[in-house]
Amino acid sequence: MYVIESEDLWKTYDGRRWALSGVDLRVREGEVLALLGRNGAGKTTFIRIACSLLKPTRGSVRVLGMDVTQESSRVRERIALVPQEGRPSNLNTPWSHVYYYLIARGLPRSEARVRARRYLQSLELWDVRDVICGNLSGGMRQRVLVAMALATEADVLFLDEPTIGLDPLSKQTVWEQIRDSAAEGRTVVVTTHNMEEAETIADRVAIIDEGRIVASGTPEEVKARVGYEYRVDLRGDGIEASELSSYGLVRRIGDRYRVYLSDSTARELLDLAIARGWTASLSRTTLEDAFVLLVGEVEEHAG
Amino acid sequence: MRVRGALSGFLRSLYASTMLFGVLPFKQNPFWALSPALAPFAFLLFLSIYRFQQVVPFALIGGLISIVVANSISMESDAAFNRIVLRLDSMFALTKGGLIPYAIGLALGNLINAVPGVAVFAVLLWTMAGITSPQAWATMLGALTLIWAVVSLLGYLISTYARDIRDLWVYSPLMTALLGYLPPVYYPLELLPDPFLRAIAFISPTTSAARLMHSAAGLVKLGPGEFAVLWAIPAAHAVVFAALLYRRVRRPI
Ligand SMILES: Nc1ncnc2c1ncn2[C@@H]1O[C@H](COP(=O)(O)OP(=O)(O)O)[C@@H](O)[C@H]1O
Ligand SMILES: [Mg+2]
Repeated sequence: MYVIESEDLWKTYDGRRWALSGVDLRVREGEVLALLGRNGAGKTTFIRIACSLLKPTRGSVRVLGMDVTQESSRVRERIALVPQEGRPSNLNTPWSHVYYYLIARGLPRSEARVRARRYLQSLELWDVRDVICGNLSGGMRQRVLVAMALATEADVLFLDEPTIGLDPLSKQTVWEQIRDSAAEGRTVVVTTHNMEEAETIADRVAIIDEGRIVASGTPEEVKARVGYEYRVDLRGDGIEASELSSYGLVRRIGDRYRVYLSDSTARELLDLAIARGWTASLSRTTLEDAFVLLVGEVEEHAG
Repeated sequence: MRVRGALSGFLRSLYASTMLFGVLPFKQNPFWALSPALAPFAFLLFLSIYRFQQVVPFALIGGLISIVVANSISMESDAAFNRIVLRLDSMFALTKGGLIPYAIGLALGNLINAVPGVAVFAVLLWTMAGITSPQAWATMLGALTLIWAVVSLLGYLISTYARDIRDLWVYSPLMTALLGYLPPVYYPLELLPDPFLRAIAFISPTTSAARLMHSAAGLVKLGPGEFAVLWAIPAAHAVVFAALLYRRVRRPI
């Protein structure tokens, strides 16, 4: 059974350009889906429609079996959101944000107190719980919003770029908490353009570009979609892109050449590099490579 | 059972919003709340220094109205700030009562800010103008409450049109002047020279409310049936603003 199901979802804000063009997306219970895309790809638009905060132009989204447009008030009780670029109020403390938000969500005071404590602790905000947010670092403020949303323990969590601006350690803290929420059976959709984030926390990823889903599946499946297992980075004198292109797909990155290729040709290219005295390094293709290739290809077609 | 559950959900959300956006920030800095009382207070000071004793009650009633207007129209910047900058309104939309208890909480929070200024002016009205009858005070409080409700609704309505952080603090001073100082709140309606101007003045809900307060203080005499009409006019404002607001927010874009 799918917890989130979008079918042929279209959205335009101005009647001229499509922010979403026919998005089909399904998320299973207890799964973390990372929605990957460049700025303006349509991630926030999708999230806001799924949260019933925005009306689709065409198509529909069902969350927990309910149509978000028709049954918005019932859906809203069972989901939570970290809005993109949100901020807690400078005049309130982390404690009051989380505690009163839980009260607003309908929790009894005693339960709200227990939960506020638990989530402030797990997001490493407990020591600053009584400091007004105006005096906290940007990363701490962002974690306050994450704590508010996670503490609801809603069945479905939508996190719109929740780790933007966080330092590496804070990021890991948030990632852990997201994984824990999923382990307890909650379904999570997280948008990001951070590939490490996607590979670390997501069971499945969906790559969205110009309002279309261009690939989705497990990170492994998405990587397999591009058809290259390895990439070789080359640097040295006298490298010709035309020569390399017989080995695989060539991209120029600064002063390097990157060649995407398969297992057998990788060996041949490395032999060539040794013969020519180039510097070469071999790695497996990453999700980031898949992203660049998939999104780049779409643009070439559109181009 | 469902109704009771819905009501308690609504009240919880209202309480949380009032605490978060009103009580707790107020506790951070209670003296901020006095700033809307400064201009009316300066007014009062001039009049007392020049010994214009007979107009001091008008200055006090006008002051009460200006203070409530300034603190209620700030709903506009608060709601727009929460939506555009903090984006907390999307989180509050996902609560039991949705945005309605959230918005009423914001308005109650503003009312708390009005309390210090209102208290000072009320004490002065009691002592300097000798207004002591419970009936007069009931009318005063009723009229101020109505102003709070109408102007808060208007503030929220205007906030829905704000698109950028720069739109935020433009309207409040303008609306405070238009509703709290220009209409006949510091002077009786009768002093407006022509009937057309007097009719125009009722576009502002504060005109009716001020007239009720002026009459409660014995400063003006109302015509037959006027009392009821004066209550009905701001109530009608409230209904119109609420309807417009409902149309604005009923459906997300
Ligand atoms: N309120 C809006 N009004 C008009 N266009 C918008 C609005 N919000 C987003 N868009 C447009 O919709 C597209 C998708 O935006 P968005 O969903 O915010 O992308 P993402 O979150 O992936 O960065 C962009 O082209 C953006 O300019
Ligand atoms: Mg976005």
